[in-house]
Amino acid sequence: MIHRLAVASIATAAALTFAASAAAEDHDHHVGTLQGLRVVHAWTRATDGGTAYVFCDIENSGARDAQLVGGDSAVGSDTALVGFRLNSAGEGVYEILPSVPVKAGGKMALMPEGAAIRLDGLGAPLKQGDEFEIELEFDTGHMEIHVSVEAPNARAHSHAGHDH
Amino acid sequence: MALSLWVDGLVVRSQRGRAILEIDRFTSEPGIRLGIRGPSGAGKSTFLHVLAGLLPRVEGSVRWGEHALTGRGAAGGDAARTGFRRAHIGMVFQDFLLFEELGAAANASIAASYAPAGERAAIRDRAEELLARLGIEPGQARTVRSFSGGERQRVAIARALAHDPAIILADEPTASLDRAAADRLIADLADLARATGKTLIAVSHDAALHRRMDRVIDIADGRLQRDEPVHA
Amino acid sequence: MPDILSDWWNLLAPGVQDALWFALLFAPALLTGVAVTRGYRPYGLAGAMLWRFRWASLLFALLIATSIGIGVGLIAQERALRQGTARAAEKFDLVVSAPGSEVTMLMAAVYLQPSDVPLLSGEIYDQIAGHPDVALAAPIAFGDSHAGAPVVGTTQAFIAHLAGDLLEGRAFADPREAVAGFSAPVAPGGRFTADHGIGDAVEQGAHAGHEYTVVGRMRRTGSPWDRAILVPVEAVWAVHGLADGHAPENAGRLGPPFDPAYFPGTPAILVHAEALWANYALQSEFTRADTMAFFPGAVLARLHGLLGDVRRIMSVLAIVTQMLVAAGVLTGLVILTRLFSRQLALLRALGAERRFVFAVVWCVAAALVAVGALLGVALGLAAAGIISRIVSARTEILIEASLAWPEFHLVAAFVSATILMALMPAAIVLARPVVPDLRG
Repeated sequence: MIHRLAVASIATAAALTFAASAAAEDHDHHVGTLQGLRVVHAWTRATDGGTAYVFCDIENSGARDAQLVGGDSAVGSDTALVGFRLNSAGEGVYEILPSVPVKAGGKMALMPEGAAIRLDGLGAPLKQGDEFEIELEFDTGHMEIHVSVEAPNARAHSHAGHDH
Repeated sequence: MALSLWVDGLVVRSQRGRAILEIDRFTSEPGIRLGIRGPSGAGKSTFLHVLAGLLPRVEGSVRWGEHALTGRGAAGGDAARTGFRRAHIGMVFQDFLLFEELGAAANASIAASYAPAGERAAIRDRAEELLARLGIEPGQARTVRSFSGGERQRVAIARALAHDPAIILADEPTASLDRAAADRLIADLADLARATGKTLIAVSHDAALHRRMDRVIDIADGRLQRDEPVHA
Repeated sequence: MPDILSDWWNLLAPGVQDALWFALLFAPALLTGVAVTRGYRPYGLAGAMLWRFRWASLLFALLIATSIGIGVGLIAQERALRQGTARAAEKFDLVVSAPGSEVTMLMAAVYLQPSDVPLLSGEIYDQIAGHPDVALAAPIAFGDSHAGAPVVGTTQAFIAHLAGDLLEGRAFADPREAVAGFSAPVAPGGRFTADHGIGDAVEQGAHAGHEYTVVGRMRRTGSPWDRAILVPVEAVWAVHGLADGHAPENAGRLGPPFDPAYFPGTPAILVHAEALWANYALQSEFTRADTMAFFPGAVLARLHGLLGDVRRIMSVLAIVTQMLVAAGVLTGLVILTRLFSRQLALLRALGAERRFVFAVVWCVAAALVAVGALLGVALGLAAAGIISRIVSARTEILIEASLAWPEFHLVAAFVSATILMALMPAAIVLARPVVPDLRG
């Protein structure tokens, strides 16, 4: 993986940008939309650890229901759709979800203590202000989205509330 | 194993450099019972401490048998002197210096707590044997806090002999005892030393003690005064 | 950490990781002990010294115990609160209410600390109940009380969801029947009337005409619902002079389906879906202008986060206290060893090596630390137990303090750190000259 060789955040950012542009050229789909599906405000928290959670708002303006089934990413070694649950020991745990539906004309929010895309095996720290790309996998196809890295304790996308 | 004592050109200085003890030459044969007399502050106890290797900085040479504590041939410094003490010297003090919180047997066998594992059992056995011989029940549970002075000093004697040293150094062993207890202690000490062939060196003001010694020396003003064989 | 080591570590079961981590934290104490006492038997003399200074020793051990107890108690208490509140909310997968504060709604619907909130309409209830992903949609109509216990209108299906089979008696089958929580102030066979409001705002006699008979009792849930009395939601509507949720042709019916036209409203609806994923979809779907949908577990996790932050700040203070206490105790020990210096000099005069005297003093310090730490664990657990009982009694949330690995990690780290620090007073003793100390 390119970013494993990166020693500074600048190098990491450059590598991620390179990966992003390469990915964009590879795909036919316009970044962020797919058959009436639109994904906005994708974000994650800055971390030095090996795991990050990606949150976003998914809107389905299409005529048919869609299913979010997972994701893929060059940033981590493993990408999964997960849901948060507080177990009876009072510990928050994320469990793998097979899919979540995004109804026609409806919305689905991936958010903290809710459903999220989990990136495991991060090779480099995520720094606030960085951006990277991941791929969301729907039953209807794939979609590349930009994820912006927010503060380590952020609760929402820094542009949340803006009308995109 | 009895050891002979050689002292040559010994000078002990105070921290300000004043000579508090000067002994040009002194020797004694193995197994002797030696009394040391002299006024308070004359240097008797200092001499005893030198013989025990307790003083780190002295001039001249002090030798027990082949083992030099100071001067030429002394090697290993403090650790070597400590090792020599542990192996060859038993000490008795004026105010007993027992561990008040421990019983008679634990006090008498204190050397077992720092002796090599192989010697511990022998030390404990000998301590109990000595206590019994000195008339103190070794199995009793009470601590030495409740003991009389005479009993305490007998525990101290058992402690001094439990590791079977060649030399016993006693510093005013009877000074804290009443006459009867002192007389009994003197007899015990002198008899035990004689019976086991150990060298006994006792600093004392007690004439009764000196009467039981083979030889008595006087120290005054930090110098050896005269040397008088008692049973000449 | 090299990848191979971290991969290996991540493969271990959490219990094994905790045990290894404990061993790692405790190892310095153990290794120091082995190295210091190797070849010696310093325990009798260390015991003699502890006994000689028994009151000071006791005070030192209690100081250490208190500082450790605070740290252990904080961790145990936080976990107990976390677990207790999580267990109490476990059955509340998703709650839908009118838009407002999630925390207020959580307190009202899950922990039965009601406040005045707008009602959800019959149409909204119907949309939720009729949703294909929804297995259970139960109205939770709180606001009345009896003898200080909340009287909540709901459905029999909710009771079964919350507490399973009844402990005794049967389900309510009539608007004048009620099912008591495990520790409610009424028992099967008893009769009562509900008062309007709860706590200080109660209006007695407002519902005097409607007398309930208790017909069943629920199993224990460890939540405030244990104190509650559950009645048919139709009865709550009836006593307030409202329609009873059913069309006139279905009069007398209890439970769903309700007729939206005759549904007077409910402050909250518990939603349960069979599949975990469906909860997220439902939450997104019912987050809209006229409804708020939230996961009590998620709100609780955020509150736990705040609790954890507070606990962490207090833990830092506790650790600072522990270190100050340790430093104080070890300084006190240096002073005590001066009082014991004649005995220590005696040991040197008798032929004990320096390292032995060092070992005796170190053993005294180590014994104080070890006894203090063990006492501290007991003290912390006892304090957390008492606080838990008080909180349980006040909130009906079952809170049980217990010991777990984090406390033992804390204690092991403290013991290792202080036992290493205890090398200092032991070393200070070595610097003392023998003959002057021997003369006393």
